[in-house]
Amino acid sequence: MEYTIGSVAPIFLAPFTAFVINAFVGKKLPRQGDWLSVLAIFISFLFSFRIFMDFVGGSFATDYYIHKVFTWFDLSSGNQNFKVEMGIYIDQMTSIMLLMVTGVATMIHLFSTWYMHDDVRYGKFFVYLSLFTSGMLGLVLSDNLLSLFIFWEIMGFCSYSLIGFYYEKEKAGDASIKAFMTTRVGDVFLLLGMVAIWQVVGNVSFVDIYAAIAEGKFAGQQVLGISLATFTAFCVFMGTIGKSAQFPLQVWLPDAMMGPTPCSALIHAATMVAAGVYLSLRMYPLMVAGDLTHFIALIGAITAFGAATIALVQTDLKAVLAFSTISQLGYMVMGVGVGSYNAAFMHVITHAVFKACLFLSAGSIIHSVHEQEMPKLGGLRKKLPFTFIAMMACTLAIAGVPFFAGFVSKDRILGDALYWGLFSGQSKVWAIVPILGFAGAFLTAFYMFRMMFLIFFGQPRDKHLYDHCHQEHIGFNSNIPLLILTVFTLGFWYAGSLTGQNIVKVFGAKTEWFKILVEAPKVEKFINHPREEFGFVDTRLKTDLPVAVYEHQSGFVGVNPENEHGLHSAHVIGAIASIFIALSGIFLAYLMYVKRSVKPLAESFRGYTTTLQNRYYFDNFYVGRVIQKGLIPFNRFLSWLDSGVYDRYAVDGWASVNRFLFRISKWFDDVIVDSIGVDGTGVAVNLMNLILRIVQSGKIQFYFVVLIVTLAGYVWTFKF
Amino acid sequence: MNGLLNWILWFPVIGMIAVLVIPKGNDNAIRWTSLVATAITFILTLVLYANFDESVAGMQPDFLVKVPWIEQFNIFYSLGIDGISLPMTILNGLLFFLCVMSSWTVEKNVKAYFALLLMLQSTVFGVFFSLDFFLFYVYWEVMLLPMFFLIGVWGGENREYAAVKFFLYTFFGSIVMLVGIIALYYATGKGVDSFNILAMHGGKFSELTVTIFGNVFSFEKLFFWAMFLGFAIKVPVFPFHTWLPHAHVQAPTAVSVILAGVLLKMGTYGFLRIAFPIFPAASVLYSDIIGALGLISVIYGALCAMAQDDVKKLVAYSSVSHMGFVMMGLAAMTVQGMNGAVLQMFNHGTSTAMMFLLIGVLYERSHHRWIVKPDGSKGFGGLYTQMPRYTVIFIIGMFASLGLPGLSGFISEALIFLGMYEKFTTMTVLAIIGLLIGAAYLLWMFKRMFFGEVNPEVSEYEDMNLREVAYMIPLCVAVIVFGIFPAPILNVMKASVGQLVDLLAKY
Repeated sequence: MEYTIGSVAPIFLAPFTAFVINAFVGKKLPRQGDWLSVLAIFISFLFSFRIFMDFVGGSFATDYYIHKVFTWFDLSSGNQNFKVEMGIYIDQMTSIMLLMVTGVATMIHLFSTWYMHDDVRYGKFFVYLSLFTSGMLGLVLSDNLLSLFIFWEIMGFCSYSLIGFYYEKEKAGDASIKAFMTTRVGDVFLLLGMVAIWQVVGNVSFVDIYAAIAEGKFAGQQVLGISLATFTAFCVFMGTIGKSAQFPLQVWLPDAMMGPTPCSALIHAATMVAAGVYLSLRMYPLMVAGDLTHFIALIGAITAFGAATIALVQTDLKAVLAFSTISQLGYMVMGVGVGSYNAAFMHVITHAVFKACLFLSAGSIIHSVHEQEMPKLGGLRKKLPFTFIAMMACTLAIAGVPFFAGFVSKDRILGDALYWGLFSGQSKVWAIVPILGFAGAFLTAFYMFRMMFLIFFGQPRDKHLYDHCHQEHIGFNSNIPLLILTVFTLGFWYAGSLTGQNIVKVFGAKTEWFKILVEAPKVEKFINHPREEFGFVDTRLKTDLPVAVYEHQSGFVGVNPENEHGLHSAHVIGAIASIFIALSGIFLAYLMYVKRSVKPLAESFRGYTTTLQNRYYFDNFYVGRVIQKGLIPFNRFLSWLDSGVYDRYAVDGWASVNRFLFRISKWFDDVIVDSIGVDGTGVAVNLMNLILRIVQSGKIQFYFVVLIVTLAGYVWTFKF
Repeated sequence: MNGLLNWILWFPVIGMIAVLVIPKGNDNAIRWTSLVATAITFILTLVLYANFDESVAGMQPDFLVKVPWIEQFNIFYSLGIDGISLPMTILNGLLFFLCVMSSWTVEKNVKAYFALLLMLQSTVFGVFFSLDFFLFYVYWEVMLLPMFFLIGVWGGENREYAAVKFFLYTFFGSIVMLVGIIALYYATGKGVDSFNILAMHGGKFSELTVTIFGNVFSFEKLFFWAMFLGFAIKVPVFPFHTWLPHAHVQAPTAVSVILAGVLLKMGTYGFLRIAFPIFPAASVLYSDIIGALGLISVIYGALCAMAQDDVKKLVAYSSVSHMGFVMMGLAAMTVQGMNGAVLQMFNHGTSTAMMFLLIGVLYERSHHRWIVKPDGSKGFGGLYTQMPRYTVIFIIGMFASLGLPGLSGFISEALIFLGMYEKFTTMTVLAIIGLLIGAAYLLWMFKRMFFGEVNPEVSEYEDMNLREVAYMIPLCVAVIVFGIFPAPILNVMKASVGQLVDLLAKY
């Protein structure tokens, strides 16, 4: 397929155009322009699907990419050279990501037309939704860190606005500012990392960064006492920590649930938060070069386990999902850290599908029952059968039950982590990562089924709510989107073959298209890569370099092909363990919440429950201590110092001293030098004196006379 | 095209004379006259832009004006424009036009108010056009007069203190600068070019020394500081910033806009036009200090802004913070940093003008500016619900101000960071704190004023009317368009800025 600007740009431009039109004239359009947003994202989906089929259905070539650039602005002049290029970069990962984003977003747009129907700000919601999707698609298409950062922040803005969508609520304001500021902590580091990379590489396009890594440009340099590669990798990874709500910046995501549920599904589950992981994957060679992988794995494991424990005690339906999102993002980050590039990315995709579906199901429940506290629900499976089916499939997927998508991806991450932690020959201390991972998997199965049992099983706990819930009927924009997403929670889509030629093999599951197509970038092939201006010619590159050369060079201890046997056995052990763990988690939840033969957690571990309900006191620490007891009093003190001390005593005091001197000089002038004139006291002091007298005269007419006379004289002496 | 600069410079004065001729009491006639005068001036600046040759690094030869003025002292009426002054000129043309529209509601002594406003515009143009030191100084000083009266007569409750403080503080700076100008006059040998700014460019004074009380000083180093003080007070750089919050809080809306929008840029413009090219060796030598003061301004201004309960004071401190970025970009002396600094001068002009105009709009309804009143109750609250149109524009202005990518502030800040990193790595790392707090105080202010239930007091406010929206739209367009396509501004400035960077790179 021939790639022209016209075959790629609409992916970004369609939703962006919808945003612009809806922002200006949306209110005047029929149905407030929602159809425009839906249509736009569907157009993006079609174009994305075309690219996807070209990459996946085509040759199975892993070293095939498209890279085109144009100049955004150019500051070169004289001896100075500096220009900023923007462009698109499409490879296998991009093509899959595009399909996922547009596909999930289409479903969510469709669902929103039902869910948001009665909202007073219906049109505005779609304005933000379109801006957001164009931002996310722009990010995926970006060929460089700068444009990635631009779209990254635009998404942050949309997230901010949608969390604060119900702005009558004071709490929505708090949540939105918390989300923006917490992610901004990561963002400023990302900006710093980008600046540092720019200095080394000369620009920030991905292919040039890869080439620079391969050429060893990052080696041997120091910044602030640490190696340049580690510094830049850390800064970039801070962006991931912020955006993907990793420990210790995880605090914003649960509060982000103040926003409308479809926006939670799109932004805070499927796409924006996953963009953080996407960034880490894109910059994976840098993470390896900077020796940051152990740190990344640890952060991921802590997040995966920690968030899962908090999810255990949540009673709010959306809060459970929020913590589960944090936890799952932790698995992805852990995957990046342990070198499970392929599976980490697969988890981005599978998680996006099932978590979006879970949130939409939650939306469906909230819309039907008008209640999101789980203790008040119960027995809803008869009233909401389709939602139940969708949510059940997704729960099975997230819990890691075989044949579902979550199992395929999570099991691979866990298997790789197990190998990385125990069999790869590094210090056994790192076994903590797979241990936390497996423990988190157990908790995931448990809390997800706790949620399912509390909502759909047993007797309705609030009869009134139950009776007011309408019987669910099939509807094209209410539960059809859920059911479509449900189809893609099945595992074979990802593990089997999906190509044009090999479609027969889908059920044979021998050909793993995902595994073949997605692999960590081989940085060597980017050295002296061809560079094309936006024209109408592809930059297709094929080389025969050996796989993962740079991994050996940098002493990387991740998944490495030399120890194929160890990897295989780790995967077998991992798979058996995770199946067992998932099933036992489900069984325990069954015992507690259906059979009620085991006492619920809250009763057995009362002290620990309080800690969990307070989310390990992170929010209290950040908001209560750091900001309210630290930053704000400090600022007030500084401000007092500025105006109350420095300005009042140093600046005004100096003026008073001068005034005193003027008095002396005036006295000196009047009494002693009187007739001699002003020359004796010095030019500066006299000018001051003069000004002061004018100031003190207080006659505005006089000022004008002076003004006009000066001006007139000035114009008069002047010769054109 | 020869006389275009003369027209731009003197058209506001023609407007002023017209306003003065109109008999008292015809307030509307005065307003319309001022509006037409500023509109035509603005159009003239656009004509200037249209005829600007981007490839010329120095002064545009087509627009040079040079006639003898005081021949005994070799003082010339000498005007010129290049890529550094053009963005400021357009900004000046635009902001005064919008300010006249925003001043429609001024009722106190209308005639004098508009006359002074027009006079102020002319003097600001004069500063940006002057190529003769004497002329530059005259405009630099004359500008203080209308500012003094505009703050002192039309200002808030504490206006006289603020006006005197503003006047004396900046006047002190200019006196020191005058010493530098006189020193340069003697250093050039009182010849034909002894007030010619351009002729002094290029580090001609690096060998000179001066002897004061028997001690030998380097001429360049000594008088660099003289110039520095004059300009740093104007910017204002920490620790010379304390006049700014007073002046801003007391000034009427339009004057705050002008003060933050263009007058502060005169300080950084002074560095670009005078201090750096005339004393390049000293500038390079002391760039660490300039950069460090810029960094302190960024963080200190942001921290102080966060503590303010008066929304106008908050934005005033944010100006200190944002101008600190400009200083850091200048100190970097790289192509990215310098271009970023000049772009930031323009972008801060538009975004901060939006903020001050919006606060003015609110003030006309509320007659107070408390985010939190002194008694601890909420000053506003629920503005989002009550004034949706206002809120949308406020969001655009606020996010442009905090540097959201896609809006104008981001590109200039990113360029400054890129320019700084190589030379000031540690400072760059610290400066990200400024970016962080820069977002915090604005969003926190926004949350406290706009979110939540509508306050009973707020429920009486009307949304922005047509006139108010009309003068906000050009600024909204500017922050959005230049956020997406910065090239139109960068292209005009890059040759001139590049020339300066090349000069500094030699030292």
